[in-house]
Amino acid sequence: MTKKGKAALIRMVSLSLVFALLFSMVIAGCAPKEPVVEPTVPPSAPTEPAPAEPQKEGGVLKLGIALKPTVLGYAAEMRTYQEFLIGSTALEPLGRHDETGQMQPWLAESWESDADAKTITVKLKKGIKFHDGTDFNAEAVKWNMDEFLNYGRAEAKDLESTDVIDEYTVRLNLVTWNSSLMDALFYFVLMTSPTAFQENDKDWAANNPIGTGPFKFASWDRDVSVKFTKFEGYWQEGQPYLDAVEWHLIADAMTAMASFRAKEVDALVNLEPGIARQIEGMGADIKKLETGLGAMAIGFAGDSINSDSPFSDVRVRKALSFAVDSEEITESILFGYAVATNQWGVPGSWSFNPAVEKYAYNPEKAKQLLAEAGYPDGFTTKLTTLNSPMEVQIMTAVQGYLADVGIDAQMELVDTAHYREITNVASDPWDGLMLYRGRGDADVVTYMPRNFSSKGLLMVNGLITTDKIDKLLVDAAAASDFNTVKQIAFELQKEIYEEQCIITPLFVLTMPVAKYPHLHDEGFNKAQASLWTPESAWIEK
Amino acid sequence: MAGFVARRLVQSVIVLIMVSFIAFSFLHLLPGDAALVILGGEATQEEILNLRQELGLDQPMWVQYGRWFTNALQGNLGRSIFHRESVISVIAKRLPVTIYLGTLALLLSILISIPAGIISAVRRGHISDSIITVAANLGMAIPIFWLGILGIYFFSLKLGWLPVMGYTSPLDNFWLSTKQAIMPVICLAVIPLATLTRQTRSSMLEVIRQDYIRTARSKGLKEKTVITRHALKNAIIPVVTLLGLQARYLVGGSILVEQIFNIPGMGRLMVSSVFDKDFPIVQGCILVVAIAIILANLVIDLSYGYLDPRIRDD
Repeated sequence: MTKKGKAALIRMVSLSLVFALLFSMVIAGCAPKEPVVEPTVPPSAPTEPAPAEPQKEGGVLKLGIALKPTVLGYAAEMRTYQEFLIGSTALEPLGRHDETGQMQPWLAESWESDADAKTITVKLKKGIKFHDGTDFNAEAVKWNMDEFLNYGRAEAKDLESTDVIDEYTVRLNLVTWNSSLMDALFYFVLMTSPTAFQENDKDWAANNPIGTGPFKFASWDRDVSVKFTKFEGYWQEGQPYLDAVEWHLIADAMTAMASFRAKEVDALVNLEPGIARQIEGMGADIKKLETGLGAMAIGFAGDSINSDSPFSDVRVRKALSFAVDSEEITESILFGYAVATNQWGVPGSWSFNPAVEKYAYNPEKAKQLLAEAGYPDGFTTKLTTLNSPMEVQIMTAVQGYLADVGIDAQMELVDTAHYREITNVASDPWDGLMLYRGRGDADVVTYMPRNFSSKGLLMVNGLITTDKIDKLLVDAAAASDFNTVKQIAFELQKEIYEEQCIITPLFVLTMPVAKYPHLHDEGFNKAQASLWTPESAWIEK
Repeated sequence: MAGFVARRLVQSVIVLIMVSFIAFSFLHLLPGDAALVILGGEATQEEILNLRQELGLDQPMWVQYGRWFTNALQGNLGRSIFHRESVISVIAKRLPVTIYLGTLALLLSILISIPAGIISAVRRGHISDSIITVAANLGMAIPIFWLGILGIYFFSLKLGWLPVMGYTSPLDNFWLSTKQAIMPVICLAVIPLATLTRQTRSSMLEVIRQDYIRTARSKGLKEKTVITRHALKNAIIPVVTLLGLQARYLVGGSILVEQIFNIPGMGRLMVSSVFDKDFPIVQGCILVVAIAIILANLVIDLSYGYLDPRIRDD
């Protein structure tokens, strides 16, 4: 063999070796785990004595979440799921939703509302202190309510003022009676220390949550972690059990899953359905939210406000709802980690109207409606969606369903900032179809006006509004008893989703949380997705 | 020499002004409103207007740039919209992390690539050359995110030797810091390692065929002396140029590696700030990276004179 030929042979052999090594590494990676043989217990083993009361105290709870908060200590600027969830490690509201979704007193002792006098009188629990050692009292509540009101938050639009009656009693004075104001304010206004705010400034307060909660704020390393330590002066006797809580902000889903698998975190919060499915079978419990409270609802809507748009015709809007199989999307793309719906909220919630048209998947009916509307051959439109994996997947499925009935929807991907801009009330109407992201809460009075009132804020620039809907929304807010509110909610659902078909709702996410069995009473997804009750959580040693 | 340095510094200032203006203009052309990113889509018009006013976003772009530029000249890079603290303090937290990991990665790549490139060139056609060449080609072809995920799978999940993610300062906990740094540093080092190896090999191959190398050998010099003192010094110039290009990673970080290993570095800071429309942070980061690249290039230009006396004489 020549010298050249020898060199070529050596090169070929070494190339083969390197590729073989690489291939074996990949194959080894894909190989199934070896079966683990569990030790067997002899059948005649003596009965064990009853286990002692578990040691609940101690331990550091490590939680993983993909979403990053922007504000953690100033309620007027806190809006997102992750801000409420992480913030509630240190901050508490006046009331909490119970497992049936009803608001119950928490920092409040009790409350009394008077629709005729347009007041809500709140008595506060005594002996509660903020983390900075100052008292939680009526002055503190007034300061928090005033900050929320003066900031211009939509949830406080019917609040006129807050009066201090005595050290532990406040009275909320309303501009007009609003049946949901109490729910909204008691949930949204997480109590923070006025003294801490005044001694520093708003920016400092936003970054330093000083509340009455079971854990004191320790540090916030942006994009990395938020850490809290046990608050020894917590008002609930004997609680909290944990020494500390660490929120790890893990942006990458694969990394989050790996850190959970490596037990670097005890729980992963707000999993994407695809990740939740992969975590199933890792020896973890997956907790789903059944109520829809605080959860995200997904759907899509056409620019019905534009008179020259095909979606200004209600028959076309109804055709959209018949064209898409939301049950199938929920099962095949979301693996059951969402609840399909045809209206606001989830089936079974108090405002869910079972009499509303179900829009069962019927492409023939959709084609017929399109033909009646003058589009027998369909039409071309734009479908704008957020450029995030789940939304793109869902809207790709929607695109396919629409193509089956002749609607050629060209997908356009936008980032969060752009999406918020084009769906904000201050913008011009969008063009074509738009991803809808809303709330899954049953409370139609607080959240529905955002999308469907002529004075709404979200997507109202592209959606039609009607006088009937406006009136029903006002009537629902003004109603003084629950049954009347419920009755009006049913009418609203019928008008918005059946008569006008303004939005095609698809599903409400169940916001899955994965946790290891050693974490007990962890307090996620009890009734409200964004309400965490960390005081009762404990880790089995 | 002083004149050369002074000329380069003046040029650098002009480049920095241009870079900052172009970056500012492009950021403002991007769709999306920072106020809405902070407030959420359900914000009222009143809230949006108030926040835009508070952040100075209601001013025309040239006014915003002028204000930023004037402040930057005084060493004030502004205040982050999201972090609610000064840009300098935000960057001061992220930059050391990126520099630390980047320096380790660059050292690792230099320590391996230059000897590997020399061996590969000197032993051209041998099995060691083939292995090094194939490995270098693989290094350039392997996607970093894939390598990172594979590393996590083997070393964290299968073997349990290394943590999946995180960063700890070596001053706080040296052992944990080292364990956390191993995989990111390897991932960061792979591409420069491969590139530098290939460049060293090809430069050395070119040089070792020169007459003066043959002369050196015929003089009876030891092969080691011929390679290190005569060949390498001449072959290293293109390698040093390439090293200068790596400077941007030293301060700019790598978004992929930082994302996979959840490291709070400059890459993630820049990308998340672009999506958040946190203009002051993006401007500050671009300025820091631009300064680092300009300085690195200056140092490299000066090093040419040291490495090749002909350039120094010119």
